[in-house]
Amino acid sequence: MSRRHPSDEELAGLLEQAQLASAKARPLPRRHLGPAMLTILIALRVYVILAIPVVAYAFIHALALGAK
Amino acid sequence: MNHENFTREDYLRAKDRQRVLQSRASKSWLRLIWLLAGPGVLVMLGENDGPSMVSYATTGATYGIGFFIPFILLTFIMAFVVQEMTVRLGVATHRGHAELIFQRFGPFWGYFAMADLVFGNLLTLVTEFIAIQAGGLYFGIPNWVSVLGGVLVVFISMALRRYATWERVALTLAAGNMLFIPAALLAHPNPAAIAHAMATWGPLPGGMGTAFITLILANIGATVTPWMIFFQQSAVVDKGLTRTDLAQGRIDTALGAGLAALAAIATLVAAAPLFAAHTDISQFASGADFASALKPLIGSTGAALFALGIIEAGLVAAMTISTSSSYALAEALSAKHSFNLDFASGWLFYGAAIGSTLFAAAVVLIPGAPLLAMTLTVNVIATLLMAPALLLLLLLVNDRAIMAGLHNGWRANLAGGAIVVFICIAGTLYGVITVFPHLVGA
Repeated sequence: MSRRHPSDEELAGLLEQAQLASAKARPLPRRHLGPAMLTILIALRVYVILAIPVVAYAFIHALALGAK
Repeated sequence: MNHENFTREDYLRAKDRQRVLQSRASKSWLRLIWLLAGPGVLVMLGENDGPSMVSYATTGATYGIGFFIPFILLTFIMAFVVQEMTVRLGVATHRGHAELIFQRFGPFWGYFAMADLVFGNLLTLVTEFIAIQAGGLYFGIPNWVSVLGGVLVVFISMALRRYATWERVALTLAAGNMLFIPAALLAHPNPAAIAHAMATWGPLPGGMGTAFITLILANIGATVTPWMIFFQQSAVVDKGLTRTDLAQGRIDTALGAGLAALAAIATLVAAAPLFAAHTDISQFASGADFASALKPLIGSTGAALFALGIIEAGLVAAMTISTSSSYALAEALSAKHSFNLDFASGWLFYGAAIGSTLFAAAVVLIPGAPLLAMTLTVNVIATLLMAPALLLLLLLVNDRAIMAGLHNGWRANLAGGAIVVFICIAGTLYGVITVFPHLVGA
């Protein structure tokens, strides 16, 4: 496919400006998160960080049982 | 329009849009649905993956036809509520989920979300190859042949280098999820028993013990997982859907949820004769064991359909989950991310899928690898990781600065918030039961 294809102009008109690869390459501005939302995000992060070792323990326990 | 800015990716997407606009202009509504359907059906049938189908079969073999039939339907309604939000995010922002998290909330939360996704996806991908090789074993196919076949399917689909073609190939394979329906019919279920279960949410033989709670949580984990959020939003963007296509995007998601619920319930019904025959399934290691045990009960055709369905479930999920990793990783690193890219432009996008697929296939082929323990652990991890993923989704879909009028209403927020709380409680219970199985009854 040639980038100089004559129908490019017409085809480009079918896409919204924000759909073009060049537009999507520009980042959106950063959003400020309030303290309440940050607290919930951190709480859920702690929840995951605490839970994963528990799951790892269960996995190792299952392996040990399987080895017996 | 600067021609230099009009890339191959744009060109292919514009060609797809041209067909959509022509169908819309000629009021060919069925063709329009056909053109715009895909991400929703794929994400829902993709989540009916190897471990999920084993969960539904375990449920049928443990409880028979009863409470879990309406419960499975409820979990898919929950999945629709969550996934519909990703469609709105995609059409409003034209950006993938990972890039929105990075750009709006910064790299700190972005890398956490990515770590969750990559970790969960890699493990889940391993279980998909476990399903592929287990289904193959039922037909006497050696492990390595099935796994190599699975790898080749994923690679060949990647080589198509066009979103629309990749999607149609994946949809064709995903139709194999419906194999569980004839398998269920061969089990000769009593329609009155199914109707009774739907109307009364019962019976529930054995009551609410550890097995019941574990299966409740496993069935939730089999329906709503983080990769689905990342995949559908990115696929909606790659497909080029706009806000004028929102209705069709919702229909696509609802259709996917309906078909996936049907296949999930069919799997439960197909395995229900094991409950009636009091079969001990505690030592079953994979979907292939269910197929073997069902053979004398539903016949060799039904059992073969069941095993084929397990292979299909693993294959489609391997395609969609590896793609989910590809989109998210490339978005996080601000690299190009689309199936409409050539290999040179999209090397990171394609490389992530190829790398994760090879990793998963290699793990499955390790002699003595603890495949059953891995399958069970993946379900737990997926449930645990869902809560933070859902919260980030809710934050984004309420972000009026990017949603441009498509933000959540109070009903969607109430439903989404309730799902976050429910998943948190479910995840905690699941974790507790896994580590301390004697805490909850016998």
